[in-house]
Amino acid sequence: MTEEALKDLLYKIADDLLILGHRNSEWTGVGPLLEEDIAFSSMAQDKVGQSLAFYNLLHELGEQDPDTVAFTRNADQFHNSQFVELPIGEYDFSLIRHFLFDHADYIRFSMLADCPIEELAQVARKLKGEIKYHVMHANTWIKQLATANEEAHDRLQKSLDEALPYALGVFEPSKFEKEIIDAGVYPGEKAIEEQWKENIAIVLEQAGLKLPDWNTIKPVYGGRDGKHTEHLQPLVEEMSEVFRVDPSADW
Amino acid sequence: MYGGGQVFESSSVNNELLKDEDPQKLAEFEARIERGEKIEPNDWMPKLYRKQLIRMIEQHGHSEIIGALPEGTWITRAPGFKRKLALMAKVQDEVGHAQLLYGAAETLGKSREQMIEDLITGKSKYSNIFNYPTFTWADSCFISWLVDAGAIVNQLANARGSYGPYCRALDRICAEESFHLKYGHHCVIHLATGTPKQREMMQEAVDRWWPPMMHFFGPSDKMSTHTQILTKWKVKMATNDECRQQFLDMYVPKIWELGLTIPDENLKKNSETGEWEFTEPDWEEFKRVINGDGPCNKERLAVRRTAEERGAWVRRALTAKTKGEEYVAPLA
Amino acid sequence: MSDFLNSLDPRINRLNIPAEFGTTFPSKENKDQFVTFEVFVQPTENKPYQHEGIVHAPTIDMAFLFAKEQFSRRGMSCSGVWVVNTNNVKVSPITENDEDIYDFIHEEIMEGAEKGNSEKYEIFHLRKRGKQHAHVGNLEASCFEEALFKAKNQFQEEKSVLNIWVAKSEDFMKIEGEDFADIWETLPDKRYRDAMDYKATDKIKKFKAEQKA
Repeated sequence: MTEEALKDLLYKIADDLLILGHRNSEWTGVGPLLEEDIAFSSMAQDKVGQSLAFYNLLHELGEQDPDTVAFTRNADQFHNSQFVELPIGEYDFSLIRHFLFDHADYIRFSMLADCPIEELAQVARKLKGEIKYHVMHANTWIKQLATANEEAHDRLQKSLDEALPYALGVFEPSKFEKEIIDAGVYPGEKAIEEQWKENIAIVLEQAGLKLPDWNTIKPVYGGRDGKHTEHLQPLVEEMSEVFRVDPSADW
Repeated sequence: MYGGGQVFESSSVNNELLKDEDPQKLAEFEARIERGEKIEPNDWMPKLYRKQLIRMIEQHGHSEIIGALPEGTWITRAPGFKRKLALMAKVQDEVGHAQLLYGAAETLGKSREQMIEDLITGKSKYSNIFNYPTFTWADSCFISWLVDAGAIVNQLANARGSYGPYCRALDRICAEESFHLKYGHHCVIHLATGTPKQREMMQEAVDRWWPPMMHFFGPSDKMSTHTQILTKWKVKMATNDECRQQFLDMYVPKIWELGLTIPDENLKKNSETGEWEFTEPDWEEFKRVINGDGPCNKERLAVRRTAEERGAWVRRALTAKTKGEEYVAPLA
Repeated sequence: MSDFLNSLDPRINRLNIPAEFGTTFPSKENKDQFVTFEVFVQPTENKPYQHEGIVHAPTIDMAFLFAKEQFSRRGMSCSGVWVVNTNNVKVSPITENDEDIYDFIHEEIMEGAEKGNSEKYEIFHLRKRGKQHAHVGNLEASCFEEALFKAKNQFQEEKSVLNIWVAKSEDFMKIEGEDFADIWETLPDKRYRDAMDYKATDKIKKFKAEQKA
């Protein structure tokens, strides 16, 4: 497998985590209840910390240091799925995104934990426990809230319907897909997607939320190739506002 | 984060409440405090003690939750991974402190939702300093270092107070504040010893935040109402002036060593008395801001109310889950 | 733009808060007040669980989610979190510091108590005012009163115990053991939450030296 293929894989994982962690930190201090404010903030921190672990792997492969990579690129140089860059919306949307994304990430990290590239496998094994809590958190919230009253159920159903096409975009195959699968790095995006559909279906059924026929949903692709919604460039500019005052300065 | 300047009930109300307490119980209660023992929730306590403690701990809790907002202003813009993670964790801690403090106040018999309602309806106060804006990244660094430093001075004193649950919450809070203080100092050092642009940002922040910082500990002792009984009951552990002096003593040299100027030409330590001398803070402004006319009072409350409104459907749904189960105060 | 509150915080601007928010806020008739859960944390295996505080939550599984991040997000390790609804904890009276609450507990307390099936009860002690309740163990009993009386034989200590909490084991949600060890595995890596990670004395020294030169 070429180094280019490996870097492509690491970039998309890292960028997804950074952008989602950044988005979710927008709730810190203004969450729906105090304890959840704290828990959601912890998970946002976990995501940013996880992205840093992957940028560090990239740095070891010769890419620039994590701060430069994260705080000086423009939107079209980011490889994250469009799903993670969408605004936080109301809490129902943020919860649904957290649920859909973390289920995918848990499968991804479980697969990467067995990867033959030892440095990558180590990171995946280590971070899997954090994501396990994120999945517990997401499952419990979705189940409790969707079964609580009609208003909550309907909000979650609506957000789920809106989120699904973007969520499928997480599994956009990369141009190195075959190369990576052949090298045994992990079984590929299609395999994650299949497992993910099974896993979320179980929880959603318990929550009384409906999944549409998958054939009727068109995945939103493009993010992995640097094609983004209008939301990412402002996000990136905001994130790097201070850093760009003087990128060579020590902040 | 919390300074002095708590709003206590006036002494006439105090006397009224004290009048019909059982003298023997009161004597036992005071003897316990005198021995240095903590009061626990199920102990007998005077009505006035309960009332003033609720008021103080609640104001402290409100200050934490509102205090999350000025620094939160920079949460999405912190420069670099290290700062980004730290600021997220720091603002999270402030929310966590509010949770702990409300829990301590609840043991005295006021529910958290009632306290939060009193905050957003403007019925109860929070620390004045959070009504000032954070224009730049350096402002948030000033808060992290020096406002938290001031809060630690006050909180370490209060942690020696008489009420068990409040002391336990403060022990936990002070341990976390030590991270805030070091993080904030680290940020300020980097700006003050950095590029000319960074130095300029930092100096401007010091210029902006010094007056509110001097207000932070509350009006001078010679102006404040008598709190003798609260001192005796170890509710109020140090006077406003004592806290201010201690803060100046610990931090002015640390600010100066970074080549930063403090915007008060009268600020100096009197070598004979060992006391810091300074220009009398503008107490009229302090009063104006505490009564609602500061640069950010309106925004802070509007944001808190909006957060409440946006979260209302979540809480409404989930309270349906606990129908039939009764809310009770925390045990300790 | 003047229709919306103009904040320095871009997050707040995205909330589109009306500029004239109004000065009154409607008082809620029914408070959104969740019930209370007591939280106990075990920092490492072999150490007793200790009371750390409370969370408000609608259900016990959510109470755990909240308790984990509020009470075990710091420190080098955590090996378990227990949560229990405050309504399910029975509390003994509190004694003076030099008195042992167990000295006031005699067989008579079981008189008239309604006995159920024998089951496990968890016992917690407070050894000094101002400190926290710590778990001392569990025992089989058929009611709270019996649990308390049995605790006297099993757990009375040389030093006086001021206050006892008793709760049925089945009322706890216990997240602990091998199955959950990994959810705390990265705690030691979260150095950014620790004061120790912010040392900059070298920078100050260098700056001072430069100023002198």
